[in-house]
Amino acid sequence: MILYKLQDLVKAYHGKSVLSLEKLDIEQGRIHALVGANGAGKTTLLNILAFLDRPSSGSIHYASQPVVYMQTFLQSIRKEIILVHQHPVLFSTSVYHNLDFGLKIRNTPKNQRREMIAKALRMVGMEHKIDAQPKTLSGGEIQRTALARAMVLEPKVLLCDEPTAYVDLEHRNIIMELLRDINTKQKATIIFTTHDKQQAVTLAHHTITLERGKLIDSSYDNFYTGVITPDQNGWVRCRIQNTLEIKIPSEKIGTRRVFIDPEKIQWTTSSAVAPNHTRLRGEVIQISSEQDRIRIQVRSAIPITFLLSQKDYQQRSPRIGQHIDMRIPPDAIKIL
Amino acid sequence: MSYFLDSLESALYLLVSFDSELFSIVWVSVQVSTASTISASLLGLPTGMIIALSSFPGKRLLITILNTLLALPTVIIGLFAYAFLSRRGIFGPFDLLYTQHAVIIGQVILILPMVTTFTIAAINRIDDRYRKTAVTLGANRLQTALIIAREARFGLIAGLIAGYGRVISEVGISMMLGGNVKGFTRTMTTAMALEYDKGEFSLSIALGVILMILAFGINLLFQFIQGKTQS
Repeated sequence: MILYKLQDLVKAYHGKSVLSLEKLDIEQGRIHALVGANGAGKTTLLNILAFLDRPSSGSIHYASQPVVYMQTFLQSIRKEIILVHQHPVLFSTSVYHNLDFGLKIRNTPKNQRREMIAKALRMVGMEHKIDAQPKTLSGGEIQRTALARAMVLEPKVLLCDEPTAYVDLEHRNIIMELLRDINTKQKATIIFTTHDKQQAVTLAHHTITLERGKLIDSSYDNFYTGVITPDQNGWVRCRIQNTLEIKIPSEKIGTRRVFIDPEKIQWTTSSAVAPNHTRLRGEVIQISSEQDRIRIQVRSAIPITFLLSQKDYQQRSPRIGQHIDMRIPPDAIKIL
Repeated sequence: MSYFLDSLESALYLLVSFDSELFSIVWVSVQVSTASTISASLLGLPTGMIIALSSFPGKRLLITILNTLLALPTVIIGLFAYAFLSRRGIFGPFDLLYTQHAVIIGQVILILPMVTTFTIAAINRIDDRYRKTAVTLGANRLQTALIIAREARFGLIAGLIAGYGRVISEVGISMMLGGNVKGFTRTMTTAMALEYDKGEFSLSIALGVILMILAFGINLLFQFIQGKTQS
């Protein structure tokens, strides 16, 4: 079932569009990763999905109902959706009272509240801090408390803005497990933003990629900033991160965002490369499986990811540390 | 110089002997100033919160007007309030002139802009994430406003303390609307002005010492609260 249906949605500030989505459907009961560079519009979209912000134009359907931006309507649906901010704030009262706030609003009986709060804090490893004041907590502890504050309310939709950004490795895994647990046990829909492609791939059922406020039809992140200049032979060259120069079929000049489609990058063993192709050599650093394909991450002049079919993977058996040659055809490169 | 020292000695005697007239004046001052501050807070805190938390056309202009009113001289307020409260004024039938109520009304007008602007400033200082967090946790408008007020509590209290300090030390309104009636509307500042006119410095100095101690205490409290706000 589709939970959110966004159509022709635009969010603009002072006349400048920061988010422009032609169509986006978000399925209920799944984990969705929202990936994209800084300023891609991830937080703006989360605020809109949490109904904390309203779009400048376009329509949203939530649970098959058209969303009307009226206080009474919003008040009722907001009780099902909780947003945990990237830098969450705790009210200047004890951890217990922070978790109690939402429960009180929902008129949860007092005798149940303490038990629910203790359970939620136990899940994030914060039960020993139940009476602590926020100013005595570390950044990671604040983030975990904020997550517990959301979890205790058992929301239908949990929106998390970079939930593991300021958490140490041990608690990062705990939080990821927790999100998975909330999804499977409470059947909650989870939408989280992340810069970590690996996290997105391993945790989410579905990845939404944003680039400059627009949806990109790819779950990968071969996005770079490149400086594009014409050369003497009539070609246009794009210099990425000052380490790689690629030939591109573009008339756009200047500093641009460049996307290299991971599905079109070829693993080659041949030394011959067509003049309009770019050859790249690198070391395999990560191999992971996603649905029916294998994702290979390579450390080369630029960090790059490409995809292999299961059949190719079995035939070629790549291994970590192996040095490989890749060929980037012109049609793999998109200038945004 | 000896005249001043004699007056100071008499003043100290009045203080240590708990002179009944002296302390009745102090009591009237404290009573009136407290009533004024409470009344102004009942009006100013919600008004400031509404202004700070809502957006409407003319908001900036309204805040500019409130800031301008901070500099309103007490004699101007006394004069206008007198015109309304005197027998010939529209509130004449209530017979309020030369009562503590009249002084309280005047003092509320004096510090209402102060309490309101301090409230606006205190609320504006609060990170918008507190509002968003309260809303996403399901709070309605009133519950959200109360959460924000809680976070801004030190700033709000600082506004009330500043207002109290202003009314306890003002003289124009108390004199013009209270009439300096002994034991009834005679406050520390009006009593000091009267004693000065009479050339009797002992009571003036004793009252001055108490006023200074009160002002010092209020400022100490103000600084403490401001420190809390910043931390």
